[in-house]
Amino acid sequence: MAKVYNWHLGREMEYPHEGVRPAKQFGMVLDTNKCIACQTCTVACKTTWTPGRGQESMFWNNVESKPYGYYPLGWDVKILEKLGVQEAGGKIYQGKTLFDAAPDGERILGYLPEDADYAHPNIGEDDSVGLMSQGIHLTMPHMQWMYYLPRICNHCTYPACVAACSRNSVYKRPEDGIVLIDQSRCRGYRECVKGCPYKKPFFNSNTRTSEKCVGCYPAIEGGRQTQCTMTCIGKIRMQGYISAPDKAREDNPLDYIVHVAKIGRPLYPQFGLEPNTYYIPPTHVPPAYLYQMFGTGVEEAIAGYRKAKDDPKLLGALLLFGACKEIIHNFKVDGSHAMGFNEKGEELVRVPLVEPIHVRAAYDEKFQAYRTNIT
Amino acid sequence: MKVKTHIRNMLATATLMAVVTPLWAADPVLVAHKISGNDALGDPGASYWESSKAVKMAMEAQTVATPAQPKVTVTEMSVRAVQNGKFLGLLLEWKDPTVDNLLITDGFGDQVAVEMPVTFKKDDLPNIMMGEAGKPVSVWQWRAPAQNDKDNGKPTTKQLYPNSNYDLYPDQILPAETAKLYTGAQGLGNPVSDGTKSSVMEMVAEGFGTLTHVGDQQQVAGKGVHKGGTWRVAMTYPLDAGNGVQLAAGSETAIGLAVWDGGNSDRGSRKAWASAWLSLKLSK
Repeated sequence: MAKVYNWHLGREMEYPHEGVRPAKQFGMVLDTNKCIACQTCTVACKTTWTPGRGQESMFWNNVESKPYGYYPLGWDVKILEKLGVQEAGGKIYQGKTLFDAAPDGERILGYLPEDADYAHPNIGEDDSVGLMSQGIHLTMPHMQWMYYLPRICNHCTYPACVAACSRNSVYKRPEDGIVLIDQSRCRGYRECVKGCPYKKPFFNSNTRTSEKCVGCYPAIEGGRQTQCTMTCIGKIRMQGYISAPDKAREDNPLDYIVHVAKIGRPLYPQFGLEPNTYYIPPTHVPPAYLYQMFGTGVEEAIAGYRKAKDDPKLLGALLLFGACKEIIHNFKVDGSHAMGFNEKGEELVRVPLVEPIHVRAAYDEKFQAYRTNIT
Repeated sequence: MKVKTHIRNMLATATLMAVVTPLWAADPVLVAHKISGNDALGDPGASYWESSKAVKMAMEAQTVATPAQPKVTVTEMSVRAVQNGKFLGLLLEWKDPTVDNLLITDGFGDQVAVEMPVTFKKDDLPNIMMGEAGKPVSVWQWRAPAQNDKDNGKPTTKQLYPNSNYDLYPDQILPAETAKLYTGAQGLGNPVSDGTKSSVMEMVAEGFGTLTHVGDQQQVAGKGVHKGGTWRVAMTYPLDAGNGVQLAAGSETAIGLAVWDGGNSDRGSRKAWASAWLSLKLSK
């Protein structure tokens, strides 16, 4: 075991390999408040990467309703139960990671899902935590709640799949931190399926190997964002590169959202993998649930998100979500517009911070018709 | 970064090995007597095995390397050997009441493997646990799912999941070359994807995590049958082969054994193994 620094935990932790951060780290920020679970991302991913034989029930990207939606069935509650109640502590996590909790003879605490756990990818869709009685009307905060959690591979800084593979078939690319399974070397032992707490490596019953989200690496290499990001009709995602906190650049929109404004939170940071997709937590969900899922700092993240209108840079970064297909390396806000730039400093896109308002006369003289207010 | 970890593992293993296991099995030597003929000796149902005296090897839980398998179901392996001057034949028999040959997320296959130094030097044996750098071992692994592919054809998704339904596969609408892009490991020729060519794989290893298929250089062949609660697997390898394992009539070598019970979720390092080398002598 090597000692590595995990900034999500605020401390060093044990990891089976030496910790080497990649030159750049694939990252994504997802705004759960904007997701409507239309599954356009899921379909875009499915048609791009997993339409083949043996991939029938394989979804590298999925959107599940929380708290009762899971793919595969019970993935998070099962591993949380195995890990047991842990002491979160304050800024420094006091509990055990999945590496700390590895049983004798294992590299990580994990479990292999049953085959049937993949049979209902959209189970629990739209289920809220409880029933609403007849005649009730909505009050704030909501009496019952649910929200949508879109998930891809987190391309973790300390991947469980890399740690678990006994064949060195899983690797993290030094250039962009994307985690891949070498399909020539994989023998289908399913150690990665068992080890990954997010259950994002899957077993393909036709190739007899494990397969996972490839971070759309051919797109990334061409400077473009992933399929799930580009096709999102709600513009809830931004894909780019995330820095470690000591290397954070204020002009990198992902760094600004996560490190400066601190409104993006990792998914289950207590597992110890330093996952690189970040979520803007849902504003209407009880903090107790959110603590468990996104760690401490959730209430601050929600408070910061609510005040985004007062922070032009944050507003600008959020408005650049889904604004262009290329990866935005730098961004700038000039008072009325947010601009995104590529690695060469060329402007990719320019979006207004406030959408212009057009007031039109109620009666259209030309067509001799009354206009309907559609805003 | 992996090299350091690897070395650490090797050192840990070497220390453990020195403490817990003798180098050679205490059992008698396995002798491959010469029989007549020029053909490969890979038929588990053949009568020539009767001329060989079986050596029984104790199989133990693999708990040295992680991930480990603390509870194993196969505790004894019977080994026989014959040769005809052209080929060596090995017959492995072990009790396993169930046939596990379907690979789905929570389904693993029965397997057995024989390991031997690529070049045998009696006083300089490789680490029995997958060899070591500069001292490669050859591993011949028979797999029940591959045997099923060979005997009955590779099961389709519809056979694995009778109630499944799927709209359209890429190979139903795209030209073959384009559709191949959607076949992952199979399209890359990964031997685990398709057992119809051979139920045995020939691989080399120089330490944990290095096991690699030899590809077109494969010379091993074999077959397994399950009868009366026992797997009976034969493997055959040419003598005086130009490359690969150097075996000849009159020579000797050392063999290591491992067995996997798919029903016990054994795979990879989660296996039962013989912790000491078995001496194999080929008569002249």
